[in-house]
Amino acid sequence: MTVKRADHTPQLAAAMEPLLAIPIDSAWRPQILAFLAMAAHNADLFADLPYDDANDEAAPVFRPGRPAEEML
Amino acid sequence: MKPATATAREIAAAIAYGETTATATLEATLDAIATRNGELGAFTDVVAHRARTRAAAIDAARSAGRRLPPLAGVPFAVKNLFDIAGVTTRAGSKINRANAPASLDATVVVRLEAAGAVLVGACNMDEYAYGFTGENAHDGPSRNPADLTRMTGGSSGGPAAAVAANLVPVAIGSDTNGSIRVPASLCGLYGLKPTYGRLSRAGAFPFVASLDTVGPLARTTADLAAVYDALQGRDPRDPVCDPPDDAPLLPLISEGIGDVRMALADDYFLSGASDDARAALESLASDLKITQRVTLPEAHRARAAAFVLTAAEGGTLHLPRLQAGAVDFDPDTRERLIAGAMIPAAWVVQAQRFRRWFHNEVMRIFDSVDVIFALATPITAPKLGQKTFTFDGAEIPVRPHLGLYTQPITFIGLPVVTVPLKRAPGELPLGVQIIAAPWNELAALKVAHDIETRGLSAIVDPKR
Repeated sequence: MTVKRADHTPQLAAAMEPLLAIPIDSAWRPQILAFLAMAAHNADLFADLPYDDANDEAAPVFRPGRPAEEML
Repeated sequence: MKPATATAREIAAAIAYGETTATATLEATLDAIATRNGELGAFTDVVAHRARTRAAAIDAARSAGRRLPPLAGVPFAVKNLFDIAGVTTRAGSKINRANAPASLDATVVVRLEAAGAVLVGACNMDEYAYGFTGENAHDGPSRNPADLTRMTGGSSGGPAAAVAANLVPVAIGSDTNGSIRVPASLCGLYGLKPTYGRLSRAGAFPFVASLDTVGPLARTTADLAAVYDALQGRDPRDPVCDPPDDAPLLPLISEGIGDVRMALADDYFLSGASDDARAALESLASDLKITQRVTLPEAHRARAAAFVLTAAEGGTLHLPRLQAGAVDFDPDTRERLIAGAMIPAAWVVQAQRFRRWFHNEVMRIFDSVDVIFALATPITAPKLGQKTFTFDGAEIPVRPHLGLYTQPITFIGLPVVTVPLKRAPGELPLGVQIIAAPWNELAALKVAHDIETRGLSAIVDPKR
Protein backbone atom coordinates (compact mmCIF):
# COMPACT_ATOMS: atom_id res chain seq x y z
CA MET A 1 0.00 0.00 0.00
CA THR A 2 2.70 2.46 0.99
CA VAL A 3 5.12 3.38 -1.76
CA LYS A 4 8.61 3.77 -0.40
CA ARG A 5 10.28 6.47 -2.43
CA ALA A 6 13.90 7.47 -2.62
CA ASP A 7 14.70 10.46 -0.47
CA HIS A 8 14.42 13.45 -2.80
CA THR A 9 14.14 16.02 -0.04
CA PRO A 10 17.51 17.67 -0.81
CA GLN A 11 16.35 18.27 -4.39
CA LEU A 12 12.93 19.46 -3.19
CA ALA A 13 14.51 21.90 -0.76
CA ALA A 14 16.95 23.15 -3.40
CA ALA A 15 14.11 23.73 -5.87
CA MET A 16 11.83 25.44 -3.35
CA GLU A 17 14.37 27.69 -1.68
CA PRO A 18 14.57 30.33 -4.46
CA LEU A 19 10.78 30.19 -4.93
CA LEU A 20 10.11 30.89 -1.27
CA ALA A 21 12.57 33.80 -1.13
CA ILE A 22 13.43 33.12 2.46
CA PRO A 23 17.00 34.15 3.33
CA ILE A 24 18.26 30.80 4.66
CA ASP A 25 21.43 30.67 6.72
CA SER A 26 23.54 27.63 5.83
CA ALA A 27 23.57 26.64 9.49
CA TRP A 28 19.80 26.09 9.33
CA ARG A 29 19.88 23.72 6.38
CA PRO A 30 20.56 20.44 8.21
CA GLN A 31 17.49 20.91 10.41
CA ILE A 32 15.35 22.04 7.48
CA LEU A 33 16.34 18.95 5.51
CA ALA A 34 15.81 16.68 8.50
CA PHE A 35 12.33 18.03 9.07
CA LEU A 36 11.45 17.90 5.38
CA ALA A 37 12.61 14.30 5.29
CA MET A 38 10.39 13.59 8.29
CA ALA A 39 7.45 15.17 6.46
CA ALA A 40 8.23 13.14 3.33
CA HIS A 41 8.30 9.94 5.35
CA ASN A 42 4.95 10.86 6.88
CA ALA A 43 3.46 11.71 3.49
CA ASP A 44 4.52 8.29 2.21
CA LEU A 45 2.23 6.77 4.84
CA PHE A 46 -0.98 8.17 3.37
CA ALA A 47 -0.26 9.66 -0.05
CA ASP A 48 -0.86 6.52 -2.11
CA LEU A 49 -3.93 5.01 -0.49
CA PRO A 50 -6.72 4.22 -2.99
CA TYR A 51 -8.87 7.30 -2.56
CA ASP A 52 -12.16 7.58 -4.36
CA ASP A 53 -12.41 10.56 -6.70
CA ALA A 54 -15.47 11.69 -4.75
CA ASN A 55 -13.37 11.86 -1.60
CA ASP A 56 -11.83 15.27 -2.26
CA GLU A 57 -12.44 17.48 0.73
CA ALA A 58 -10.47 20.52 1.74
CA ALA A 59 -10.73 22.02 5.20
CA PRO A 60 -14.24 23.33 5.91
CA VAL A 61 -13.33 26.98 6.15
CA PHE A 62 -14.21 28.61 2.85
CA ARG A 63 -17.89 29.34 2.43
CA PRO A 64 -19.07 31.00 -0.77
CA GLY A 65 -21.78 33.61 -0.74
CA ARG A 66 -20.73 35.45 2.38
CA PRO A 67 -18.75 38.67 2.25
CA ALA A 68 -15.32 38.48 3.84
CA GLU A 69 -16.07 41.43 6.12
CA GLU A 70 -18.81 39.38 7.76
CA MET A 71 -16.08 37.13 9.06
CA LEU A 72 -14.17 39.95 10.73
CA MET B 1 -12.68 28.96 51.06
CA LYS B 2 -8.88 28.90 50.78
CA PRO B 3 -8.27 31.57 48.14
CA ALA B 4 -5.03 30.03 46.88
CA THR B 5 -6.51 26.65 46.05
CA ALA B 6 -10.18 27.52 45.57
CA THR B 7 -11.91 26.38 42.44
CA ALA B 8 -13.63 28.79 40.11
CA ARG B 9 -17.03 27.76 41.35
CA GLU B 10 -15.99 28.10 45.01
CA ILE B 11 -14.68 31.59 44.33
CA ALA B 12 -17.86 32.62 42.51
CA ALA B 13 -20.00 31.25 45.35
CA ALA B 14 -17.92 32.97 48.05
CA ILE B 15 -18.25 36.31 46.26
CA ALA B 16 -21.96 35.83 45.62
CA TYR B 17 -22.58 35.04 49.31
CA GLY B 18 -20.47 37.95 50.51
CA GLU B 19 -17.78 35.79 52.13
CA THR B 20 -15.17 37.69 50.16
CA THR B 21 -15.08 40.25 47.38
CA ALA B 22 -13.94 40.18 43.78
CA THR B 23 -11.38 42.84 44.64
CA ALA B 24 -9.90 40.86 47.52
CA THR B 25 -9.77 37.74 45.37
CA LEU B 26 -8.08 39.65 42.58
CA GLU B 27 -5.49 41.26 44.86
CA ALA B 28 -4.58 37.82 46.26
CA THR B 29 -4.22 36.57 42.70
CA LEU B 30 -2.02 39.50 41.64
CA ASP B 31 0.14 39.00 44.76
CA ALA B 32 0.56 35.31 43.96
CA ILE B 33 1.55 36.10 40.37
CA ALA B 34 4.05 38.72 41.52
CA THR B 35 5.55 36.29 44.02
CA ARG B 36 5.76 33.15 41.94
CA ASN B 37 5.83 34.06 38.28
CA GLY B 38 9.57 34.58 38.22
CA GLU B 39 10.21 30.91 38.93
CA LEU B 40 7.24 29.58 36.93
CA GLY B 41 7.43 31.62 33.73
CA ALA B 42 3.67 31.31 33.46
CA PHE B 43 2.59 34.89 32.65
CA THR B 44 4.01 37.21 30.01
CA ASP B 45 1.46 40.01 30.46
CA VAL B 46 -0.56 41.06 33.50
CA VAL B 47 -3.51 43.41 33.01
CA ALA B 48 -3.86 44.61 36.59
CA HIS B 49 -5.63 47.91 35.88
CA ARG B 50 -8.23 46.29 33.67
CA ALA B 51 -8.73 43.51 36.21
CA ARG B 52 -9.14 45.92 39.13
CA THR B 53 -11.75 47.88 37.15
CA ARG B 54 -13.69 44.69 36.42
CA ALA B 55 -13.47 43.43 39.99
CA ALA B 56 -14.66 46.76 41.38
CA ALA B 57 -17.63 46.70 39.02
CA ILE B 58 -18.58 43.22 40.24
CA ASP B 59 -18.34 44.30 43.89
CA ALA B 60 -20.44 47.37 43.10
CA ALA B 61 -23.06 45.23 41.39
CA ARG B 62 -23.30 42.97 44.42
CA SER B 63 -23.52 45.92 46.79
CA ALA B 64 -26.37 47.26 44.67
CA GLY B 65 -28.20 43.96 45.07
CA ARG B 66 -27.90 42.93 41.45
CA ARG B 67 -27.77 39.25 40.57
CA LEU B 68 -24.22 38.22 39.67
CA PRO B 69 -23.36 36.14 36.60
CA PRO B 70 -22.14 32.55 37.19
CA LEU B 71 -18.39 33.20 37.21
CA ALA B 72 -18.47 36.63 38.85
CA GLY B 73 -15.08 37.53 40.26
CA VAL B 74 -13.27 34.38 39.09
CA PRO B 75 -9.74 35.27 37.95
CA PHE B 76 -8.68 33.71 34.66
CA ALA B 77 -5.80 33.85 32.22
CA VAL B 78 -5.43 33.23 28.50
CA LYS B 79 -2.59 31.94 26.37
CA ASN B 80 -0.83 34.92 24.83
CA LEU B 81 -2.14 34.16 21.34
CA PHE B 82 -5.58 35.51 22.36
CA ASP B 83 -6.28 39.16 21.64
CA ILE B 84 -6.65 41.41 24.66
CA ALA B 85 -7.68 44.95 23.72
CA GLY B 86 -4.77 47.29 24.34
CA VAL B 87 -2.19 44.48 24.54
CA THR B 88 0.00 43.32 21.66
CA THR B 89 -0.74 39.68 20.86
CA ARG B 90 2.70 38.11 20.87
CA ALA B 91 1.69 34.48 20.18
CA GLY B 92 4.94 33.42 21.80
CA SER B 93 6.98 35.28 19.22
CA LYS B 94 9.44 38.16 19.13
CA ILE B 95 8.24 39.25 15.69
CA ASN B 96 4.63 39.96 16.67
CA ARG B 97 5.73 42.32 19.42
CA ALA B 98 6.19 44.95 16.72
CA ASN B 99 2.47 44.75 15.94
CA ALA B 100 -0.04 47.31 17.18
CA PRO B 101 -1.97 46.36 20.31
CA ALA B 102 -5.18 44.44 19.68
CA SER B 103 -8.21 46.66 19.25
CA LEU B 104 -10.75 44.00 20.26
CA ASP B 105 -10.84 41.18 22.78
CA ALA B 106 -10.88 37.59 21.56
CA THR B 107 -14.31 36.00 21.78
CA VAL B 108 -13.20 33.74 24.66
CA VAL B 109 -12.30 36.85 26.66
CA VAL B 110 -15.57 38.60 25.78
CA ARG B 111 -17.66 35.59 26.77
CA LEU B 112 -15.85 34.80 30.02
CA GLU B 113 -16.04 38.41 31.09
CA ALA B 114 -19.75 38.42 30.21
CA ALA B 115 -20.03 35.52 32.63
CA GLY B 116 -18.36 37.67 35.28
CA ALA B 117 -14.83 36.25 35.19
CA VAL B 118 -11.91 38.64 35.56
CA LEU B 119 -9.05 38.47 33.08
CA VAL B 120 -5.71 38.90 34.86
CA GLY B 121 -3.25 38.34 32.04
CA ALA B 122 -1.76 36.40 29.18
CA CYS B 123 0.46 33.34 29.46
CA ASN B 124 3.64 31.94 27.96
CA MET B 125 3.60 29.45 25.09
CA ASP B 126 5.74 27.77 22.45
CA GLU B 127 6.42 30.21 19.63
CA TYR B 128 3.38 30.41 17.34
CA ALA B 129 2.04 27.29 19.11
CA TYR B 130 4.45 25.05 17.17
CA GLY B 131 5.79 22.78 19.89
CA PHE B 132 4.86 20.43 22.71
CA THR B 133 7.48 21.53 25.27
CA GLY B 134 6.41 24.88 26.74
CA GLU B 135 9.90 26.21 26.06
CA ASN B 136 10.29 29.61 24.44
CA ALA B 137 13.53 31.22 23.25
CA HIS B 138 12.24 34.75 23.81
CA ASP B 139 10.36 34.54 27.12
CA GLY B 140 12.08 31.56 28.69
CA PRO B 141 10.35 28.29 29.49
CA SER B 142 7.22 27.83 31.50
CA ARG B 143 8.15 25.52 34.38
CA ASN B 144 6.19 22.57 35.68
CA PRO B 145 4.80 23.36 39.15
CA ALA B 146 5.18 19.69 40.13
CA ASP B 147 8.95 19.92 39.46
CA LEU B 148 10.39 23.25 38.37
CA THR B 149 13.27 21.55 36.55
CA ARG B 150 10.82 19.95 34.12
CA MET B 151 8.75 20.97 31.13
CA THR B 152 5.10 21.97 31.41
CA GLY B 153 4.46 20.59 27.98
CA GLY B 154 3.01 22.85 25.31
CA SER B 155 2.13 24.74 23.55
CA SER B 156 -0.28 25.98 26.26
CA GLY B 157 2.50 25.67 28.84
CA GLY B 158 2.00 29.01 30.57
CA PRO B 159 -1.75 28.51 31.10
CA ALA B 160 -1.06 25.05 32.53
CA ALA B 161 1.65 26.35 34.86
CA ALA B 162 -0.65 29.16 36.05
CA VAL B 163 -3.47 26.76 36.92
CA ALA B 164 -1.32 23.96 38.34
CA ALA B 165 0.52 26.43 40.59
CA ASN B 166 -2.80 27.78 41.88
CA LEU B 167 -2.20 31.26 40.47
CA VAL B 168 -5.61 31.16 38.77
CA PRO B 169 -8.32 28.46 38.91
CA VAL B 170 -8.85 28.35 35.15
CA ALA B 171 -7.05 29.38 31.98
CA ILE B 172 -7.79 29.21 28.28
CA GLY B 173 -5.44 27.48 25.87
CA SER B 174 -5.52 26.37 22.28
CA ASP B 175 -5.12 22.85 20.92
CA THR B 176 -4.10 22.18 17.33
CA ASN B 177 -2.33 18.86 17.81
CA GLY B 178 -2.44 18.41 21.57
CA SER B 179 -1.53 21.79 23.01
CA ILE B 180 -4.11 21.62 25.80
CA ARG B 181 -3.86 17.87 26.41
CA VAL B 182 -0.07 17.56 26.56
CA PRO B 183 0.41 20.25 29.23
CA ALA B 184 -2.67 19.01 31.09
CA SER B 185 -1.02 15.60 31.20
CA LEU B 186 2.43 16.77 32.23
CA CYS B 187 1.16 19.26 34.83
CA GLY B 188 -1.62 17.05 36.20
CA LEU B 189 -4.71 19.06 35.24
CA TYR B 190 -8.09 18.60 33.63
CA GLY B 191 -8.24 19.97 30.10
CA LEU B 192 -10.99 20.15 27.52
CA LYS B 193 -10.28 20.16 23.80
CA PRO B 194 -13.70 20.61 22.23
CA THR B 195 -14.98 19.32 18.91
CA TYR B 196 -13.45 21.19 15.99
CA GLY B 197 -15.89 24.04 15.32
CA ARG B 198 -17.48 23.99 18.77
CA LEU B 199 -15.90 27.08 20.41
CA SER B 200 -15.02 30.32 18.69
CA ARG B 201 -11.39 30.97 17.78
CA ALA B 202 -12.03 34.59 16.80
CA GLY B 203 -9.25 36.80 18.06
CA ALA B 204 -6.89 33.88 18.54
CA PHE B 205 -3.71 34.07 16.48
CA PRO B 206 -4.05 31.09 14.10
CA PHE B 207 -1.69 28.19 13.57
CA VAL B 208 -3.39 25.50 11.47
CA ALA B 209 -6.88 26.60 10.48
CA SER B 210 -7.85 23.02 9.58
CA LEU B 211 -7.16 21.83 13.12
CA ASP B 212 -7.18 24.76 15.58
CA THR B 213 -9.46 24.57 18.63
CA VAL B 214 -9.58 26.45 21.94
CA GLY B 215 -10.59 25.29 25.41
CA PRO B 216 -10.08 25.47 29.17
CA LEU B 217 -7.60 24.01 31.66
CA ALA B 218 -8.76 23.68 35.27
CA ARG B 219 -8.28 21.79 38.53
CA THR B 220 -11.78 20.29 38.52
CA THR B 221 -14.17 18.93 35.93
CA ALA B 222 -16.95 21.20 37.21
CA ASP B 223 -14.77 24.22 36.49
CA LEU B 224 -14.04 22.86 33.01
CA ALA B 225 -17.78 22.54 32.38
CA ALA B 226 -18.61 25.94 33.86
CA VAL B 227 -16.06 27.69 31.66
CA TYR B 228 -17.02 25.63 28.62
CA ASP B 229 -20.66 26.63 29.11
CA ALA B 230 -19.70 30.30 29.25
CA LEU B 231 -17.75 29.92 25.98
CA GLN B 232 -20.42 28.08 24.01
CA GLY B 233 -22.41 29.50 21.11
CA ARG B 234 -22.05 30.43 17.44
CA ASP B 235 -19.81 33.31 16.49
CA PRO B 236 -19.95 35.08 13.12
CA ARG B 237 -16.33 36.14 13.69
CA ASP B 238 -15.21 32.50 13.30
CA PRO B 239 -16.70 30.82 10.21
CA VAL B 240 -15.76 27.38 11.53
CA CYS B 241 -17.68 27.89 14.78
CA ASP B 242 -21.04 26.39 13.89
CA PRO B 243 -22.06 23.92 16.61
CA PRO B 244 -25.38 22.05 16.35
CA ASP B 245 -26.35 22.94 19.92
CA ASP B 246 -25.18 24.95 22.90
CA ALA B 247 -26.99 23.46 25.89
CA PRO B 248 -25.22 24.00 29.23
CA LEU B 249 -23.40 20.86 30.38
CA LEU B 250 -22.54 21.71 33.98
CA PRO B 251 -25.98 20.62 35.29
CA LEU B 252 -25.58 17.29 33.47
CA ILE B 253 -22.06 16.09 34.27
CA SER B 254 -23.00 14.55 37.62
CA GLU B 255 -25.82 12.43 36.21
CA GLY B 256 -23.69 9.29 36.40
CA ILE B 257 -22.20 7.07 33.74
CA GLY B 258 -24.32 3.96 34.01
CA ASP B 259 -25.28 4.16 30.35
CA VAL B 260 -21.89 5.20 29.01
CA ARG B 261 -20.03 2.52 27.04
CA MET B 262 -16.27 2.74 27.61
CA ALA B 263 -13.31 1.16 25.85
CA LEU B 264 -9.54 1.37 25.90
CA ALA B 265 -7.63 2.23 22.73
CA ASP B 266 -4.97 -0.37 22.04
CA ASP B 267 -2.38 -0.89 19.33
CA TYR B 268 -0.91 2.53 18.39
CA PHE B 269 -2.06 4.15 21.64
CA LEU B 270 -0.24 1.65 23.85
CA SER B 271 2.83 1.07 21.74
CA GLY B 272 5.92 2.86 22.88
CA ALA B 273 4.51 4.22 26.13
CA SER B 274 6.67 3.94 29.22
CA ASP B 275 5.92 1.00 31.51
CA ASP B 276 4.88 3.49 34.15
CA ALA B 277 2.37 5.16 31.82
CA ARG B 278 0.90 1.86 30.67
CA ALA B 279 0.54 0.64 34.23
CA ALA B 280 -1.22 3.82 35.32
CA LEU B 281 -3.68 3.54 32.46
CA GLU B 282 -4.32 -0.16 33.03
CA SER B 283 -4.94 0.53 36.70
CA LEU B 284 -7.61 3.11 35.87
CA ALA B 285 -9.18 0.77 33.32
CA SER B 286 -9.31 -1.94 35.97
CA ASP B 287 -10.92 0.39 38.51
CA LEU B 288 -13.53 1.35 35.93
CA LYS B 289 -14.02 -2.29 34.89
CA ILE B 290 -13.25 -1.45 31.28
CA THR B 291 -12.79 -4.70 29.43
CA GLN B 292 -13.40 -3.67 25.84
CA ARG B 293 -10.44 -2.81 23.64
CA VAL B 294 -10.78 -0.91 20.36
CA THR B 295 -8.30 -0.28 17.58
CA LEU B 296 -8.37 3.03 15.75
CA PRO B 297 -7.24 1.77 12.36
CA GLU B 298 -4.19 3.31 10.76
CA ALA B 299 -3.74 5.75 13.62
CA HIS B 300 -0.06 6.10 12.75
CA ARG B 301 -1.05 7.33 9.30
CA ALA B 302 -3.54 9.76 10.86
CA ARG B 303 -0.76 11.14 12.99
CA ALA B 304 1.46 11.40 9.91
CA ALA B 305 -1.22 13.28 7.99
CA ALA B 306 -1.78 15.69 10.88
CA PHE B 307 1.98 16.26 10.96
CA VAL B 308 2.05 17.17 7.25
CA LEU B 309 -1.04 19.40 7.42
CA THR B 310 0.42 21.21 10.39
CA ALA B 311 3.80 21.77 8.80
CA ALA B 312 2.34 22.93 5.48
CA GLU B 313 -0.36 25.21 6.83
CA GLY B 314 1.92 26.60 9.52
CA GLY B 315 4.76 27.18 7.07
CA THR B 316 2.45 28.91 4.61
CA LEU B 317 0.87 31.09 7.30
CA HIS B 318 4.27 32.33 8.40
CA LEU B 319 5.89 32.64 4.97
CA PRO B 320 5.78 36.47 4.91
CA ARG B 321 7.38 36.62 8.35
CA LEU B 322 10.01 34.08 7.34
CA GLN B 323 10.82 36.13 4.24
CA ALA B 324 11.05 39.37 6.20
CA GLY B 325 12.82 38.22 9.32
CA ALA B 326 13.62 34.54 9.66
CA VAL B 327 16.45 35.33 12.08
CA ASP B 328 13.92 36.63 14.59
CA PHE B 329 12.15 33.27 14.97
CA ASP B 330 12.86 30.83 17.76
CA PRO B 331 15.40 28.49 16.09
CA ASP B 332 13.37 25.47 17.21
CA THR B 333 10.39 26.82 15.29
CA ARG B 334 12.04 28.46 12.31
CA GLU B 335 13.54 25.45 10.59
CA ARG B 336 10.33 23.45 10.94
CA LEU B 337 8.25 26.28 9.45
CA ILE B 338 10.66 26.74 6.54
CA ALA B 339 10.53 23.01 5.81
CA GLY B 340 6.75 23.17 6.07
CA ALA B 341 6.58 25.93 3.47
CA MET B 342 8.42 23.61 1.07
CA ILE B 343 5.83 20.82 1.26
CA PRO B 344 4.16 19.97 -2.07
CA ALA B 345 0.43 20.66 -2.39
CA ALA B 346 -0.21 17.00 -3.27
CA TRP B 347 0.82 15.88 0.20
CA VAL B 348 -1.57 18.38 1.79
CA VAL B 349 -4.56 17.47 -0.33
CA GLN B 350 -3.99 13.77 0.22
CA ALA B 351 -3.79 14.41 3.95
CA GLN B 352 -7.21 16.05 3.81
CA ARG B 353 -8.60 13.08 1.88
CA PHE B 354 -7.17 10.68 4.41
CA ARG B 355 -8.80 12.77 7.12
CA ARG B 356 -12.29 11.84 5.96
CA TRP B 357 -11.33 8.17 5.55
CA PHE B 358 -9.96 7.98 9.09
CA HIS B 359 -12.95 9.91 10.45
CA ASN B 360 -15.36 7.41 8.90
CA GLU B 361 -13.45 4.44 10.31
CA VAL B 362 -13.43 5.89 13.83
CA MET B 363 -17.10 6.81 13.63
CA ARG B 364 -17.84 3.12 13.12
CA ILE B 365 -16.23 2.46 16.50
CA PHE B 366 -18.57 4.97 18.08
CA ASP B 367 -21.51 2.81 16.99
CA SER B 368 -20.70 0.52 19.91
CA VAL B 369 -18.69 2.76 22.25
CA ASP B 370 -19.34 6.20 23.76
CA VAL B 371 -15.90 7.10 25.03
CA ILE B 372 -12.41 5.83 24.29
CA PHE B 373 -9.53 6.02 26.76
CA ALA B 374 -5.98 6.65 25.54
CA LEU B 375 -2.87 8.02 27.19
CA ALA B 376 -2.36 11.74 26.60
CA THR B 377 1.43 11.50 26.59
CA PRO B 378 3.73 8.47 26.37
CA ILE B 379 5.94 9.76 29.19
CA THR B 380 5.88 12.13 32.16
CA ALA B 381 7.41 15.60 31.97
CA PRO B 382 10.91 15.65 30.43
CA LYS B 383 13.63 17.80 31.93
CA LEU B 384 13.83 21.36 30.59
CA GLY B 385 16.21 21.38 27.65
CA GLN B 386 15.84 17.65 27.04
CA LYS B 387 15.89 17.07 23.29
CA THR B 388 14.97 13.38 22.94
CA PHE B 389 13.09 10.63 24.74
CA THR B 390 12.91 6.89 24.35
CA PHE B 391 9.91 5.61 22.40
CA ASP B 392 9.64 2.00 21.30
CA GLY B 393 13.35 1.55 21.91
CA ALA B 394 14.39 4.51 19.77
CA GLU B 395 15.44 8.01 20.75
CA ILE B 396 13.08 10.53 19.14
CA PRO B 397 12.88 14.35 19.37
CA VAL B 398 10.75 15.72 22.19
CA ARG B 399 9.43 18.88 20.56
CA PRO B 400 7.49 17.34 17.65
CA HIS B 401 6.68 13.99 19.28
CA LEU B 402 5.28 14.51 22.78
CA GLY B 403 1.87 14.68 21.11
CA LEU B 404 2.09 11.30 19.41
CA TYR B 405 -1.10 10.15 21.10
CA THR B 406 -3.02 13.40 20.75
CA GLN B 407 -2.43 14.16 17.07
CA PRO B 408 -4.56 11.40 15.53
CA ILE B 409 -7.52 12.59 17.61
CA THR B 410 -7.21 16.26 16.67
CA PHE B 411 -6.87 15.19 13.06
CA ILE B 412 -10.57 14.28 12.97
CA GLY B 413 -11.76 16.96 15.36
CA LEU B 414 -13.01 14.80 18.22
CA PRO B 415 -13.74 16.26 21.67
CA VAL B 416 -11.44 15.12 24.47
CA VAL B 417 -11.26 15.66 28.20
CA THR B 418 -7.84 15.01 29.69
CA VAL B 419 -7.88 13.65 33.22
CA PRO B 420 -4.88 13.48 35.59
CA LEU B 421 -4.24 9.89 36.59
CA LYS B 422 -3.88 9.09 40.27
CA ARG B 423 -0.17 8.91 41.06
CA ALA B 424 1.90 7.55 43.93
CA PRO B 425 3.74 10.07 46.12
CA GLY B 426 6.74 11.43 44.28
CA GLU B 427 5.54 10.32 40.86
CA LEU B 428 5.17 12.97 38.19
CA PRO B 429 1.74 13.76 36.71
CA LEU B 430 0.39 11.90 33.72
CA GLY B 431 -2.95 12.25 31.96
CA VAL B 432 -5.41 10.12 30.06
CA GLN B 433 -7.55 11.27 27.15
CA ILE B 434 -11.27 10.54 27.31
CA ILE B 435 -12.30 10.77 23.67
CA ALA B 436 -15.91 11.09 22.51
CA ALA B 437 -17.76 11.29 19.21
CA PRO B 438 -18.09 14.69 17.53
CA TRP B 439 -20.22 17.16 19.53
CA ASN B 440 -20.52 14.76 22.47
CA GLU B 441 -18.43 16.72 24.97
CA LEU B 442 -21.03 15.70 27.56
CA ALA B 443 -20.03 12.02 27.50
CA ALA B 444 -16.36 12.82 28.04
CA LEU B 445 -17.14 15.31 30.81
CA LYS B 446 -19.50 12.91 32.58
CA VAL B 447 -16.90 10.16 32.62
CA ALA B 448 -14.17 12.55 33.74
CA HIS B 449 -16.41 13.86 36.51
CA ASP B 450 -17.23 10.34 37.64
CA ILE B 451 -13.52 9.43 37.77
CA GLU B 452 -12.83 12.59 39.77
CA THR B 453 -15.63 12.10 42.30
CA ARG B 454 -14.65 8.46 42.85
CA GLY B 455 -11.12 9.54 43.70
CA LEU B 456 -9.55 7.78 40.72
CA SER B 457 -7.85 10.93 39.47
CA ALA B 458 -5.83 13.51 41.34
CA ILE B 459 -4.19 16.83 40.70
CA VAL B 460 -0.63 17.12 41.98
CA ASP B 461 0.25 19.61 44.70
CA PRO B 462 2.66 22.18 43.34
CA LYS B 463 6.16 22.39 44.80
CA ARG B 464 6.72 25.64 46.70
